[in-house]
Amino acid sequence: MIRPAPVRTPDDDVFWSWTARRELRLQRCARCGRFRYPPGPCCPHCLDTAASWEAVAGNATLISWCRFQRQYFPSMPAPYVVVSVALEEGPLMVGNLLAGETETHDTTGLRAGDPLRLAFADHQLEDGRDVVLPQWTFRPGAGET
Amino acid sequence: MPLPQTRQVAVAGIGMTAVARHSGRTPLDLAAEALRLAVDDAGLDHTDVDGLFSNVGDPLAVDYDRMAEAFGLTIRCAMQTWTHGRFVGTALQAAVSAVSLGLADVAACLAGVRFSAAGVVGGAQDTEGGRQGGGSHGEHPHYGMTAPGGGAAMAFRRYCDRYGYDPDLIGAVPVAFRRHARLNPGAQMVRPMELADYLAEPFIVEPLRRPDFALLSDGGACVLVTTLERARDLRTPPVVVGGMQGLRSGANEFIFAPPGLGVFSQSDDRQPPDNPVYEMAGLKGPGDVDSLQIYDAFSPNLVFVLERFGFAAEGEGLNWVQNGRIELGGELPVNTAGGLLSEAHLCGWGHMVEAARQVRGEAGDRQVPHCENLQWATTFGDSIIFQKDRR
Repeated sequence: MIRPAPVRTPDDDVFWSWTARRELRLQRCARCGRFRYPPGPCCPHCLDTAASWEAVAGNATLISWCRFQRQYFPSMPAPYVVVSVALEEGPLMVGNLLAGETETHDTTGLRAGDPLRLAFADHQLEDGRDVVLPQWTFRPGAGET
Repeated sequence: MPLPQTRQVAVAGIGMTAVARHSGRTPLDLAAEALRLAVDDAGLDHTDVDGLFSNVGDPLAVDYDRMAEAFGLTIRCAMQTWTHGRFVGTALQAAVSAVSLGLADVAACLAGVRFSAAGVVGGAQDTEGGRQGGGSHGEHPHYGMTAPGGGAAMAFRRYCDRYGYDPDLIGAVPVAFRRHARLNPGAQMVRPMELADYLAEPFIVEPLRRPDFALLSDGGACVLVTTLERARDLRTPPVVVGGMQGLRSGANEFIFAPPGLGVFSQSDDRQPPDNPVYEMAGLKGPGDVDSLQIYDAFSPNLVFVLERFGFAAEGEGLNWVQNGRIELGGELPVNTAGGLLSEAHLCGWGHMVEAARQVRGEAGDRQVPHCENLQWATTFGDSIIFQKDRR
């Protein structure tokens, strides 16, 4: 599964160093305790800069999805599905859906509120480098009609 | 010295070129024509223009400084936003504010745009999506999440799930705007499109289809604002700028959703409408508005505007747009020239030109009867109310 590269700035480096180790860690504000995503130098609630990188539990809820029917990237033919998920810790993330080890683009029965579980997937970037991406799979009991 | 007392401001001149998918013309050429048309419309000379405002620059359009030098303008107040249609209201508001405070006397909002040279919006060469923390339409290229349409589709699906709608109902919006475009001799898309035609069109990013996406166009437009006092001495009936409110931003905002819909950075907590534009214009609320112009980058934008501004209750917007309510002859005609969906994508300036035509009573077959209060509004919260001069 080849991908365009993520946009990376120094604000993101620590995030990606953890995902390379198959851990999803986000900054947790030392002052107000909130997790934040995307990574950033300060808390979006209290503006404090002190934070620690903590692993999230890996549970999320499906917020929404869309299916690309037009191809926008040379390495990603349509159709493919993108999901928006809410971590139980609060932040929202974007990703793709896995059924087992492979991506699924079947949205039959998908509903906002479906429970999802973090799953890491190996991808290759368009320039040949490898990357590990946090992805999402159905939690046991979800997705059944 | 304290800031001076503000002056009342009106639209005194409008100009719009022909539009086309591929015009073969340059943005500079299109902007020049639009400026000429607007100054002629106002009965002014281009040397009267001393303010220059735009929401789009090179390479889609022309930067303010190149326009000023190429068109023989002497500008004492200029402003140009980052190139994006979303700032059309903001650019016009800046022009109005400048005239109101006396930083300019005749302010031109001017844009010549050439989408035909832009290629695909979104994807591999998309600089907008290449931003730390995700692009402003939610872009995350490594997940394939790209293009403004991706974010719009994600938000609309969320809305439909949350309030229990079949997304196909959105077809009422592009069908309505196409009907309006068919009454507009200058519109780009005039082929008949009824609901069955809409449903047969391909998805671009499900659940949105091709007719739910704004057009790509070449064309130019210009809106001239000056003091109401001066406008009353010029060629055309002044279109008074009666009220404004600014562009919203924050974690609870997403460009193509109402606040608190719960997508991207938003909380999941819808708030009641909070829109001071009506009071500023001396109106009681949305019920006093005769016609609406919205930034229709995508069809669901209308649903979200109606809810954001209180025309429809939370979750009722997609019902509200059914059955001709938003069409000429209906309760609230919207985008009477066809909008970005069917007239042209001039980054919002076609809408401002149509707003002025309507309030002047010059919209011909598209005229909304007794159009005295016309509102411009967006999903991102800025708004302008244009009013008939009540002298």
